[in-house]
Amino acid sequence: MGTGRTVPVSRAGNVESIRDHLERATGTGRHGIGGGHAATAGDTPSRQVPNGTTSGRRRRWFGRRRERLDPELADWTLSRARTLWMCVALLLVSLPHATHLPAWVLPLFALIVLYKCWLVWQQRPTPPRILTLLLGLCCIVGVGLSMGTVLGREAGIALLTLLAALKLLETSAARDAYVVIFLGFFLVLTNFLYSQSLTTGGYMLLVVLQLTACMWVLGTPSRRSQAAQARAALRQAATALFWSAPIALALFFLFPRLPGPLWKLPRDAHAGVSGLSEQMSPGDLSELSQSDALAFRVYFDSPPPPSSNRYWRGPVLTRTDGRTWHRAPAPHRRPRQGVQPLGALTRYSVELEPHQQRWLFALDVPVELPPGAMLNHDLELRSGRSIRRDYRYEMVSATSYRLDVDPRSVMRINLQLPLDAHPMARQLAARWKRLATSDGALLELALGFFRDGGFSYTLSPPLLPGDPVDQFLFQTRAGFCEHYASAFTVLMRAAGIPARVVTGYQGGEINPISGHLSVRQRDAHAWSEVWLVERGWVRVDPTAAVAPERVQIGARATLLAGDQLGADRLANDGGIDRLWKNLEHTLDYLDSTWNRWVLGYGNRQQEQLLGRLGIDASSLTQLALWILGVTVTVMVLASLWLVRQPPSRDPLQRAWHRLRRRLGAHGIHSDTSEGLEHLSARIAASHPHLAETAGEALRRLARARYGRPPADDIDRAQALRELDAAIQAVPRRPTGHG
Amino acid sequence: MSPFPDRDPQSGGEPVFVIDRRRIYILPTRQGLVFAFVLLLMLAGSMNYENNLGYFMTFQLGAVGLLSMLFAFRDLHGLRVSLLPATPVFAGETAWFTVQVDNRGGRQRHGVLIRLDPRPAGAPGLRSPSPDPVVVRAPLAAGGEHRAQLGLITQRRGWQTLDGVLLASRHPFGLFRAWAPIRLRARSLVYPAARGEQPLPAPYAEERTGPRARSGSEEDFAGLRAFQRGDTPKHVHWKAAARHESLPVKVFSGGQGGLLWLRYDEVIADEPETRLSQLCRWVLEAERSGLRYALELPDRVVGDQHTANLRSRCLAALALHGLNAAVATSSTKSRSRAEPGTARAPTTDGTDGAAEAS
Repeated sequence: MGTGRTVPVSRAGNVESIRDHLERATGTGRHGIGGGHAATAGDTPSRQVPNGTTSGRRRRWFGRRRERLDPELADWTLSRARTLWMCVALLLVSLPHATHLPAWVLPLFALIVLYKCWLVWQQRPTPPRILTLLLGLCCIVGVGLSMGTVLGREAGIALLTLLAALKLLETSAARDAYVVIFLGFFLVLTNFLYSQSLTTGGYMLLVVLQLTACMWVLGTPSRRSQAAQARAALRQAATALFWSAPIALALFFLFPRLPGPLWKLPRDAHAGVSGLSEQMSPGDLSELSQSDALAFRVYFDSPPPPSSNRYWRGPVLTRTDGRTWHRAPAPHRRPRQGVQPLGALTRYSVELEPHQQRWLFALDVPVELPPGAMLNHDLELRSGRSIRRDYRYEMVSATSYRLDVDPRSVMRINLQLPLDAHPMARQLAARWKRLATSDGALLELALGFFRDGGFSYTLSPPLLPGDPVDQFLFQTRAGFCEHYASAFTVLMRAAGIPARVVTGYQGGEINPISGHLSVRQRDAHAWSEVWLVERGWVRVDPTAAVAPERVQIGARATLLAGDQLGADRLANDGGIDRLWKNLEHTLDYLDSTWNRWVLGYGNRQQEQLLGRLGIDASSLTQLALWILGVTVTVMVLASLWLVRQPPSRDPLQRAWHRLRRRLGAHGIHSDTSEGLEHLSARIAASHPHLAETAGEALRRLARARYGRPPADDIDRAQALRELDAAIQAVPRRPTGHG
Repeated sequence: MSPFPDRDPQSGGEPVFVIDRRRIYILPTRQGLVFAFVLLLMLAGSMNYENNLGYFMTFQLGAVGLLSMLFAFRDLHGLRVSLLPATPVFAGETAWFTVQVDNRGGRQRHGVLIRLDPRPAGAPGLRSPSPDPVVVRAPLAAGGEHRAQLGLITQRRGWQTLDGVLLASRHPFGLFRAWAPIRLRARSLVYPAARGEQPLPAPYAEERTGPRARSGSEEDFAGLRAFQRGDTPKHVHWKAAARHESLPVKVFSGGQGGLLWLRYDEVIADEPETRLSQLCRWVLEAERSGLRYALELPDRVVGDQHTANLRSRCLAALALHGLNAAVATSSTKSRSRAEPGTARAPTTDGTDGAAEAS
């Protein structure tokens, strides 16, 4: 198999092919004068003469279908370099899928790819088509068995990955190779279904660059130097991507966005997102708090409230079976409720990461709602449809407030307790009820119990196999916020005070660079709300009674302070840690910008942005005209830049002028009629001290000008460098010699 | 002379075809169409999943596809093409035409292909619709040039014209193919195939007689003169006699060896082409044996005053025998077809039979 290297045509090398053509010519029809058959001037070992069986036509489907190849691609061979480029592309593109595909898929994929490499290296023929087909069937069966289906997103990606490898395996002609690359592009897209982070975006940009360069390599004859080939390919790909960026951006912002999906998404379309759920059991939040994943970002328009006041209200849980808390179904009659803000309102916008649920987070408690959202009976802020993509909404909240709710609607559900659960807690509550004169006093008693009862705040509380509330209150006395919130709410209900568990996030970290607040899963929190006759619903955070620093510096710092190592790290507030923190903030800032402008761009944002630019986003004609306009403009600019007249003077001529200037400084002048050799001789006679250097420069110039033309740019550049060095050797000014 | 004269020397005075933007055509390749289809799928996927990075990548690749049109265009733009003369060949041999491509700019051309135009604009029907085409890659470094040879297998004597060359490029990504038909023509003289079993006729000198001596003791054919009494009938140029008022008689001059007359009439064959082939073979044999010879065709005689290119003159005469009318009409046709900016390449071998044929 040839290497695809191109050498200048010489007749000597063509004897074989001429003869072949002559033989073929005699077998075909007659032609008039001036007509005739074409003969080949085949120039490489790989340019075999088409003989009807192997290279000219390809045997496909057991020889049933024969197809002529495009003669301009007939000399295409699957060289080692091309194979390597394609293999690297496929590996790069499927690597990020390692985490969500069955364990056997990627190893099999890599095996097929390596097998292909081996075949090409050993110059073995492409395996028969039947083998590829069988392998393909095996892959489908394998995916079906291990994933339970061959449909759906994950299975589809697994199949697509294997298909790409199999296509590579059967590649022998240019057409197959291009299909492999196109499959690679499609695989890039599948990666975006899992992550659209800045990191993924950056990585995939590199992959697209590599794939594009791969297309270049597929279409360009190889050169001697693989490194130069790679450089040229990457440069070409980068140029193309650079010029295509403005068009892509314009399309990105102008292409009409649909408010919803085109067809029903497979059930596993949005898998693997962690976050709060509609229920809470002991251990749920502590598990969640190990995750650094972003929950949402907040951009404050007014001064941000202090950390201890930043309670981000999420699902409200009112029903309990003794262990797990659930959301209550909506009541038939919506209670009248009103929020009386006390003090200044906080204005902000929230940028919510998709969590596939319908609730929105707002600072406790929301006063003005974003469009399309509503506040339900439990003061949960809910969106009309589940959040499947980054969602940005504007909010106004009151951090100090008074809630007026019709008491009759509240009582029943918020006093519910499982019948026989928590006997000890009920006893304790009964004792408090006897002691306390009012609900407020009872509340104080309870908080005092938590504060002084030897409770500890820990991420890894002991397991509670029995009655979780009683065991926690009277035995382990170590827990995370969900333990405190649930035990406190049970106690309150047992004492006859309506109470409920509110889940959400507490605190968050303000990014010093941009000033926005990032709330992460590790800030997940649960607290209680109790109904006091004179004050309405009041937020009570029993965790704050146990570990006040939780609401001031956050869960992570609180827990770190608990052990010695963590305390050391917190105390040692400088050096590498601060650097790390800064880096973290910077990345967070970049990521927030990214989310805001790239991922959050949807139907509504498009309307807003284009509206500000005076473009009607709902008019397809207008959008199409704008897209066309931008594309044409960029194409024209690019063509002006790319197809500009190449430099008129060639580098040799510039070198000649440089040399002439240098010689002129020595008083040596030459006109256009003088030959280089004559000039050289003249210098040797008049300026013997220049004879060597100038002579060498002139010799090199003559060789470059009249010698054999360089084979490619590398040789040419090398010759020019040497010529430049020779010219540099000629002294710029006359020295003492005179 | 200075290495960089003000005026660049033309490549041997051949007409140069400069590929400017009006001469470049672009269409997507099959790969390009598949690519567009894949992009459509990707767009549908991005829309359905409302995936913004998917959108962006799809648009970016679409733009890359569009731009590759520009790159393909750029790969051909500004190239200078000329056709170099082809050396005459015998019928059945391959006539090699040299295409010289000159890349003056400071940019390497990566994907230039030179090939025969499968459908030359001017000559439909003359060539079979899709001969196995010749495709030659032309590696063109910045400022470099490349000479490629395209061969046409000749079938018959006469002129073999090359009137459809095109340069194509799929650079850089193979999604679009740009091509430029080169409006240059070149022709190569095709001698008759050297065939035939007849031995060379005997040299004429052995039959020389008295009257022949009177006209001079030389042996070289020197020309024709009017018939005089005493001239042997063998010396009368009977074929030419029809056009002359008096009988033309061949006059010979000088020489030591005998003069070998290769006569159309002496070939024993019915087919004119067979006769010409035999004559062609005789010419080659005579040349190989170093004999002095002259060629006599029904309508003309090629003598041996100018021995320097006697062979090529004889072969050219054989090649074009009886084709003058056809050549004349075809050349006027091509001239009328020539548009501004196109140029007719000069004929091959300027001194050969083309001049004598007219």
